[in-house]
Amino acid sequence: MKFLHLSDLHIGKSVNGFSMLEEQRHAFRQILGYIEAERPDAAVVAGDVYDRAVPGVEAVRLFDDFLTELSGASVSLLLVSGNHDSPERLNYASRLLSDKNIYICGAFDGELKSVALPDEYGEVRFWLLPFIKPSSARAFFGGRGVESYDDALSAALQSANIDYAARNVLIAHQFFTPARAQPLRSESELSPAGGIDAVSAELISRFDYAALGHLHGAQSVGADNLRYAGSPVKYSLSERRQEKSVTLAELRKKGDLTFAKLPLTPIHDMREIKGELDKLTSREISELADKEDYLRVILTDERELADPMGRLRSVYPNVMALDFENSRTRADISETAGGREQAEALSPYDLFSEFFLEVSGAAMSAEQAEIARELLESAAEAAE
Amino acid sequence: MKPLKLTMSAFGSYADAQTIDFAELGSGGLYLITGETGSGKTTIFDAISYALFGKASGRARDNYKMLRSDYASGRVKTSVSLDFAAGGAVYNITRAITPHIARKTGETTYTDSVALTLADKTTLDRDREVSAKISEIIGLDRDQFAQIVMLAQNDFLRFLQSGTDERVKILRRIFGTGSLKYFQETLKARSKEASDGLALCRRDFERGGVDPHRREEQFAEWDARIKQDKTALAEADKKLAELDERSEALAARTAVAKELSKKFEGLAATRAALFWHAARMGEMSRLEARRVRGETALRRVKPFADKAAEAENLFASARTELARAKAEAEAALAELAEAKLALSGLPSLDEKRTAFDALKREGEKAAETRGKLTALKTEYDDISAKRAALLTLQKELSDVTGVISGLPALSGEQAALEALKREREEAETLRDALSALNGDYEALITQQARLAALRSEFEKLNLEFSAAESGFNAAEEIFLRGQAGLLARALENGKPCPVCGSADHPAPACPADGSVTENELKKAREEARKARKRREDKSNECAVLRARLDTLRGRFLADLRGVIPGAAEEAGALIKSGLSAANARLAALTEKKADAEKKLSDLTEKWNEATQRRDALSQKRAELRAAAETRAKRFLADALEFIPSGEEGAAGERLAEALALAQAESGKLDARKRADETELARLEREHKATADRNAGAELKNQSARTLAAERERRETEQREKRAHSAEAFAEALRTHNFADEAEYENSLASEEELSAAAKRLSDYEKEGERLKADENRFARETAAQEKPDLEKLAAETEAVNGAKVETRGKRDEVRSRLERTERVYGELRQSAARYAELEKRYAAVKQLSDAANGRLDFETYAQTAYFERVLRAANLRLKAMSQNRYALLRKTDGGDARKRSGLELEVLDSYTGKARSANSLSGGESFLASLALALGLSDVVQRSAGGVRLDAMFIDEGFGSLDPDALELALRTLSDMAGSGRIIGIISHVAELGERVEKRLSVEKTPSGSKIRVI
Repeated sequence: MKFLHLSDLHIGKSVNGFSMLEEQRHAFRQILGYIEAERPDAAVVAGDVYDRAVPGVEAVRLFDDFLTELSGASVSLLLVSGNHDSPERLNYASRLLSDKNIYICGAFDGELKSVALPDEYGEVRFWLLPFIKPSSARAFFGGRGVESYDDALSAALQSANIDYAARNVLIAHQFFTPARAQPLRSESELSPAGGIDAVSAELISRFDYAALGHLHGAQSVGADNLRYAGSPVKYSLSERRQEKSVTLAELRKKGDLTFAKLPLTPIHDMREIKGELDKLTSREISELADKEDYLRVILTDERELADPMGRLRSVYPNVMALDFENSRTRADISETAGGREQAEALSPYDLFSEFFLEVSGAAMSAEQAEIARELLESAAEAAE
Repeated sequence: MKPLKLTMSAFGSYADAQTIDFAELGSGGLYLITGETGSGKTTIFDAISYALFGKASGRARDNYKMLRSDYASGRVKTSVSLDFAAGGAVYNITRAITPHIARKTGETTYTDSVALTLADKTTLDRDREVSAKISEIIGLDRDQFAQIVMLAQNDFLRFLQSGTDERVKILRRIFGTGSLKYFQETLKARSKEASDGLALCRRDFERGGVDPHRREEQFAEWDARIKQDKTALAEADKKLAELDERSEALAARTAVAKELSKKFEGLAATRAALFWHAARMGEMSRLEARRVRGETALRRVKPFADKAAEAENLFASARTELARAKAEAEAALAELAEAKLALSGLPSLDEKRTAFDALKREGEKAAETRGKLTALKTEYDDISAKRAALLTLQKELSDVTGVISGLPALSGEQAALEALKREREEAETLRDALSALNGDYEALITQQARLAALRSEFEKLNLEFSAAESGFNAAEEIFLRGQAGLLARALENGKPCPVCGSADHPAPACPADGSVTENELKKAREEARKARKRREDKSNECAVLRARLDTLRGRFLADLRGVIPGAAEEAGALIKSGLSAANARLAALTEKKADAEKKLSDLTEKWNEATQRRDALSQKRAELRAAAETRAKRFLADALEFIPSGEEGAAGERLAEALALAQAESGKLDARKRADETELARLEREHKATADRNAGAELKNQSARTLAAERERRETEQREKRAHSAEAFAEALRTHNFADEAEYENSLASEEELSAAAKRLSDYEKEGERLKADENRFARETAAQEKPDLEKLAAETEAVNGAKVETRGKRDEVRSRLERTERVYGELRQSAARYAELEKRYAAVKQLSDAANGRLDFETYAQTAYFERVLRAANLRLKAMSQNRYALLRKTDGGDARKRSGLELEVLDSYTGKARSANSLSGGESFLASLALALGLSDVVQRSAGGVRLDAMFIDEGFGSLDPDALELALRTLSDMAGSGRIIGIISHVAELGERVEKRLSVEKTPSGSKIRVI
């Protein structure tokens, strides 16, 4: 059984105000190209199809085109919703589409759905698990004390009575972590506000392959059979060094799994440049690479700059973010660090001493100090 | 301060008690409050703010009448109860607004109450106590709270966009720099005090003529002067004392002398008085004599005189009365005579009466006649009217009869209708027959067609069958040949053939081209069999159908001939046209029948109506006629008197004439009767009056006579009495030696005169005695003494007094001068002492005050320092939320001191490298900046206020102005801030937040108030 594993499409997303729709379209074209070349039996999308619960018009159109093309290529499509999607909205027409070999599982209704696809070795069962939170799981498995994500996931998996002797592929969208290592994370993944979303990878280790989504960097989780396909497009500057791809997995007899990463190239790359403004905007430097790449620029000039963003954008139209690194910023940082201690409450008397010194150039006499202290005390009392 | 549980009753949009258990939302992180507009989200924050401080969250929501729920009835109490934890202890504060409805006016007044329960279960319930305690527990007052912990809707921009003055106020409240300002002011006051003190001292010196620098010399001078004056004063006092002594002695002597002098004078006066007293003696004795005489006259003689006078009076009055009575008697007599005369002069009453009665009777008769005539006339008129009515009726009747005869005969119409009905029925029958026939025909045609179809099908199947059969045969042939071929292959010459047994095989079968397996053969056979079956089935079907078709045809022909005898089958085609014709005719006839029916019914109706009417009229006429006849007869009988027989025709006129006459007659008689009646009445009255007069006069006469007699008697009596009393009086005069009445009169004196005289006499005596006594006394007292010289003494006294006055004046002068000098001197000495001290003090304080109140004053300095700190803290967050783009700066331009004192805010946009005013930020950016500022403020307050820990924060709206990226960053910042120990509550209607934030409070509007649910 050969199938293509992709996830985190985030159709319609903008990064720093720049719409990624064209990049996405370009990536999809490449994916369809791969499908035509490799002729897989199925394609699996592991969540975060859209970027928002209610996606924009352009996004919906793009996904519609993609889906139609996929269906035309006579490939079975299996799709689950991610934490960015609206489960119910993604579920729309799913029952009708199942007739056309498109299996969408948007909302979790207490029962883990599965689709069995045949190959020469028999059947491969694909389990579709959309993104669930403890609160959604609680509604179905409530009595059994579902508090954390771990509880939710294990409850859901247990309820499905999976026969692990057969070949099973899980399609899920969660944050799985192996016991020891820290996974590769990027800024553009969302963590739910106010909650820990990590799930132990132990729970899914018995699947022959777990087609996962959520992390935007393609990686395995502990073992090779648990994989994140990664996003097809770079969605934040923290991903700039990654190489984007889709995963092509092949499962023959039980235990015989191979996979390959099919690379995807963007229209414009995302990278970071650092230097002085004049240098960066000069001809030699700007010609070195694609000027229309999405850039994070770090300026190191010491002097004050007039309209740095304007000047940068005139050469590099797609500058996403601008940062400064110079002695002042370094001082700021230390100041804030040091400033914290210094900012402890100065007593009014000390404050006044300083003030007096500054205004009149000399310290107070003993008599003056006495007067000041006495009056400050009485003023403090009077104010209460 | 961390809220634990909030309960609201009849508050805002919550009618009944709603409880929020914050524990359900966890101990740290964000939670979202969602709900429709106006459902009551902000009200939750209001409730918390109100519970703690007695005021709602934003400025505009303060009036507690606005806080009361409209859903609650007028009597329900509004209350908010908040359990919260602070500094490790748990407290509860409950506030309530209770309505009181005045029974008479129906007006509602409100009272607030508050109760703060501390950790040890004690309760505070006085407003000021509670406020103070809350400030203590939480560490913030209401303004600080509103600025830092609770970012109310629309309020958060205040700090960001306000001007320096506003900001100064806010910072002052938050950081309590008010006391520093107070300190400044105090310094200024002290400085002024010192300066004033110095000025006063200087003025004192001036007034005293002291040159501050030559003080000591002048003081010494004054000392000397004072000493001098003191001595002078002592001397003067001594002198004054001496003079006083002398004057006292003189005064005593003078008094004694005065006394003695008076006594001498008294003696002289008394002696003179005695002399004059003696001179009056003669007068007094004369007076005595007169008195005695007068007494006698009064007491002894007067009574008799009085009596006599009285008797005289009585007699006189009796006489007058007698005369009067006599006169009256005469008058009465005269009157009586007159009355009698009048009575006889009246005419007789009875005659008049009789004449009147006769007249009355006549009048009655006339009236009777008139009545009779009137009745007759009415009757006559009536009858005539009835006759006229009868005529009209007759006319009507003839009209109706005419109408009836005009109507066509019913019977004819009816017959026509019948005929029509029959015709129609016939047509209907024909049509029905044709219709049935048509049906049959059509069925026949259909079946014929069907048969044809079946036949063709059969043909097809037949072909199929043949094909299959031949196929099978072919296959079989091949198979057999094949078999044969197989067999043939095994043939060996000499070995017998398994089929025929021959050992000779001249022509072994060749395997056929093509092979057919046994299976295939079986299949072909099966096919052929199936085809045959199908063909047979179809053939049967055809046969069945053909039989049915024959029956149908037979029936059809029979029916057809029934209708059209001798018709051939082909006539079937014509049936349709015949049928339509029949239908048409039937329809036409039906219509005609309907018309005729209607016409008939109309006619019948008309006929009935007319006949009825005619009958009614007939009857009426008969009745009327009968009635009229009877009455006419009676009338003639009654009127015979006036209408002789034979003159009936002219009955009307006769009657009228007679009636008129009778009326006139009756009228005349009535008039006469009335006149007579009045006359009679008058006469009767007159008679009566005269009779009365007579009777009266008689009585009067009687009484007058009686009275006269009486009076006479009295007169005689009185005369006698008079004589008696005169005598007695004369006797009395003689007894007491009065010569005549005249003397008596003269001597008569009244009582008062007598007593007055007696008193005068006694007074005279007494005076005489007194004077004698005085004389004796004075003579005794002044014996052997000399008269003193008063004048000399007086002169001496005056001299001494003069001396005294002079001395005193001098002394007073000296004394006042001394006092003044001493006083001034004392004051100046004091001033001098103070002056030195003040000089020193003033120098110190002035410097402090100048510094504190200079162009850069102390409070501003302090505030600027705090402000800087706040900005630093805010920028940390703002940088994070704006991806390092924005930073808040304090505006610094202008001169040196000014530079440090401004509190204007600017925003530095690192993309452009320029700073711009905070007001130029967009809505979303403003929100982020304000949020950063609030968080910064919160940080600084917590650090500087020591024990203040802010474990909760509330943000009301503002997120709607952020784009998704900014929203993300803001949420992340808040989430970080919340961490695990703080809960931050957000009110927002932004849908995305609902997806992003796990814990939610949903506020739902219902018709009976809002309800809160934790999701």
